[in-house]
Amino acid sequence: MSADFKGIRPLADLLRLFIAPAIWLAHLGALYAAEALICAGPQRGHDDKMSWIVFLFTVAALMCLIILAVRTFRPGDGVPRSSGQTSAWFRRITLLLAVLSGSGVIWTSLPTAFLPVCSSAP
Amino acid sequence: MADTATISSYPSTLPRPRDEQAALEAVWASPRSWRIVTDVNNTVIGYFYVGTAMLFFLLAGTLALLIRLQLAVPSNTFLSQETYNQIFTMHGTVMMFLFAVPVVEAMGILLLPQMLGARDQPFPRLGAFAFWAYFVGGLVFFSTLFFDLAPSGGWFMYPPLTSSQFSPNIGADFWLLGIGFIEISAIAGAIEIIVGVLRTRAPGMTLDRMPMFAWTMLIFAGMIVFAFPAVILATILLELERAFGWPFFIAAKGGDALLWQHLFWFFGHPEVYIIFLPAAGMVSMIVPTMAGTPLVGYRLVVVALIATGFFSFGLWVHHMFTTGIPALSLSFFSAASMAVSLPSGIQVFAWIATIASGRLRWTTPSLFILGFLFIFTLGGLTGVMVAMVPFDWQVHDTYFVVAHFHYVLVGGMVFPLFAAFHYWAPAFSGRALSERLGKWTFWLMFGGFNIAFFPMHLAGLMGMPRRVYTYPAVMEWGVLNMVSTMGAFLFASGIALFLIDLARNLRPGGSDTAGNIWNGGTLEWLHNREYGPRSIPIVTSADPLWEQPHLARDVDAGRYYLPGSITGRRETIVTSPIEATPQYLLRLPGPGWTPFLAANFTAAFFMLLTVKAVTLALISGVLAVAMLVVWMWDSDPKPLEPVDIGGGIKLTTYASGSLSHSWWAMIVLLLVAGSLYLAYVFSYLYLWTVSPQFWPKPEALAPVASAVLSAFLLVSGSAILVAAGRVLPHRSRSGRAFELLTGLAAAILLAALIAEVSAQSQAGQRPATDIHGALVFTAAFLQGQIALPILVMAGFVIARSLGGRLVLERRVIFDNFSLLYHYTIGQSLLGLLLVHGFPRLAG
Ligand code: HEM
Ligand SMILES: [Cu+2]
Repeated sequence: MSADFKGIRPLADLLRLFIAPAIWLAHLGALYAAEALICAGPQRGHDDKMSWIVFLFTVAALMCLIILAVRTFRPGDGVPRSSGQTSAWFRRITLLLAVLSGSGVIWTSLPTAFLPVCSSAP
Repeated sequence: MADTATISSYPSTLPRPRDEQAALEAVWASPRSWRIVTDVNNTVIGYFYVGTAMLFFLLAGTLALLIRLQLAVPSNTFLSQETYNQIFTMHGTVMMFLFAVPVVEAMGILLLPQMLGARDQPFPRLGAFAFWAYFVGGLVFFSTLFFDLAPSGGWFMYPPLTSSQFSPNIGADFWLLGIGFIEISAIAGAIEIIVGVLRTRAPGMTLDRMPMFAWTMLIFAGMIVFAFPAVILATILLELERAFGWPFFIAAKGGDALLWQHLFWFFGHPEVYIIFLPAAGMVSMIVPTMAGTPLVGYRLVVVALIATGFFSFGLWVHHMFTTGIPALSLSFFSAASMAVSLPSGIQVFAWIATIASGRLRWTTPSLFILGFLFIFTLGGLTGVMVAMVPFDWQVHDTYFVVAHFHYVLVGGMVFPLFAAFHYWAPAFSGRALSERLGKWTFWLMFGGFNIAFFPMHLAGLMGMPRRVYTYPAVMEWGVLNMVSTMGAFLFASGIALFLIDLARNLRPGGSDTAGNIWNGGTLEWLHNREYGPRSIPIVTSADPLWEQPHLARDVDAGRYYLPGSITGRRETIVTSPIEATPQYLLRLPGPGWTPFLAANFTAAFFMLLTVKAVTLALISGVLAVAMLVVWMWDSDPKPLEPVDIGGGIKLTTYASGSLSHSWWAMIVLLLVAGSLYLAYVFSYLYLWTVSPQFWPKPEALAPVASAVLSAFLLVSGSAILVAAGRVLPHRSRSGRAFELLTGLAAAILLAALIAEVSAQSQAGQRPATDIHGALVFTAAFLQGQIALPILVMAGFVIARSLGGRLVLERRVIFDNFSLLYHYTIGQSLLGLLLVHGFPRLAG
């Protein structure tokens, strides 16, 4: 029994559940930080730079989520040692969270399409 | 391990030994009379904890009534302005910090072990410590009101109003140290809950069979781990400013008052969900029972919980919409605010679908839940309104906002909580609460609440500002406020009725409970005593009592696992985090004075520091540490032979590495420390964007060589500690080399810290001159704050080795120490990189 549980395997398995929403949060944080550093930092106002950054971050976040989602379809991934039922359950949850976080990523980056960057609030 | 063969051959029908149960009872017996304060069992501590939290609810509620009395008529002179300010600040602070979070944590401590089929929490003494710290700290904090020392800056304590310039008396310090201290206790409770939920579930209770309340408590505790450090850092910074003049929030020296708001709301927004999620978890337990059918969409609800946990962190800026942050940033957060309503909506639909697919019984808990749904939905709607940026400019700081957050808070947590009290009382008390009185309680509370708070929306739309001690007789303000006040007293009469009900019917502590009167499906409805169920069942579904018909009888006859005490101590089964397969037998500590005393001395330390009795504070601090050392001394008991817990399952009695429950606790603790440090890194970068002109030119910085030296010291410290782990001796061998290396590693950490501080001083940095100096020394301060415990722990590790209590076969103490040590090295290296590297990069 014990050999199975050496190392940080159980923790890593558990943390898989949280990867997708963590990507969403990282994406939001990155956008906020980019905006703060570019618009409010000493060299102010690089509008086109900001648009590119938003685009790149969003694509990167979505790519990660897609990879995560696709992996859940491959049996053998996820929680291998689990009994079939629990591991299927685990994969479904991961998939749902990936979808939800993906919509979240798109939703939070939508404003850039409509708002000028670096303008201060009216 | 439990394979299918053993499971199907269970339960055993062999008769149990005659005195097995008596022995079990003796091991778990609580100390008599006033010595009960030494008990650590979750049923005892849980009661105290819930009781204390409710006491603070009543106290803060009384303050609310005073507020309402003052506001009942225009130009009232019942309270002076200063008293009014103190009262609403205390009302908000006590409700948020001393009631809402603790009561939920308390319910977790009380309920979770029974629900998960454990005998107790994995760290009973930590739970007791958290409770006593909260109890003493909270009472002292509250009583400042009677000495006119209470803070008056509003519950979120924005500087500069709270800086020493505008709040020179020690009221603000009481807030900072008092609340800081209570947060620490909340974190201790959260660690307990996380490890409890993940590692002490009944065999077979896989994650997908876990009661929903346990899921919410897991997310709740996880959110505390990430959210509370931000506000702890904020209080540290403000206190450093007030006590030593480090100018974090003073604009003239490069600080920024907005930093406080950022840090505070990084905690404050998740706080709303921290409060709300467990309440939702309670609802998810009660609704299925009352509707007589399993929760619809269990999987979706879990997804919603996890998503809410994360999404709510993305919202911190929406509380600062009128503070002039660039428009684009604002809209990110506005979008995020709305995103969070989706997962909340999923939960509401799951409950409604459950109610629709079963038949709801009209009990008191059901009523409270319907009341909750009604009020909370309204609160959610006004919340979406507030989240829309232009609308927020209209109603910001008016009574509309007061109405909104009371709909969310009272609707979202007080009503579910009262549902929970009525629902779970029979599981703990010899008698259930009265249904007749309960229904009266509900209608008084529900009616009173709406009468009190609905008019506030209108008053707010008419422009009545919040936090005013009186108002002129314009428009309908007078009428609206009078109605509000009457509603508030109606609400209070509902609470009074509830107390009468408790006094008449609550019979806690006996081993004969009213039992499963609602026909609930989860394990807390087994016949539970002080030690939980007689034997620990194997779980094969999400509602075991519904699916496994003879479970209750067989469990009570001792036919399942661990029907007695095997080692003659309190004990529980530790299972794996996902699958809940039994892994080892955990021997739990019994009653003892150390948690109680340690909590009291720690509280004394903080409070004495507040009134600047430094010597006495230090004495208390040393005593607190002494108590902790005594407490830790008999932790990690020595390995015994494997034991048979029944059903042919043999378990070891000792585990190390990631198998050990304390390893998990340590990991969570490191997450807390890491969040605190990240909040610091955020503050550093944020302040740089505000006032980069205060950052020195690269030539004026401390030399690179000094940073390299510190880094070298740190890395070699890590290497030495790894070497120490290698020479950890076998039983009865000499541990001399091990002890030397451990001591050396600790000393090196200290040396690196000293090197860094002296290099910065030589470069002319001073913490009180400007913001850059303050930040540089904060990094050192944070490193010192963790180096100090490491020194004490190193001494402890060495002492245990000398005492023969730390050997290769019994190494958990050392493992945990090295986790903390290596983490500290990592944090310090990051700090060096930031403090020495960033200005060179940016300059
Ligand atoms: C029991 C009935 C309650 C009544 C009648 C009540 C009444 C009030 C009133 C009138 C205010 C506004 C004071 C002002 O702005 O001048 C207020 C503020 C507040 N209340 Fe309540 N309240 C109640 C329950 C609660 C509960 C259960 C919570 C939290 C769980 C809570 C949290 C707060 C907070 C955070 C504030 C803001 C304090 C500040 O502005 O600093 N209240 N309450
Ligand atoms: Cu919020």
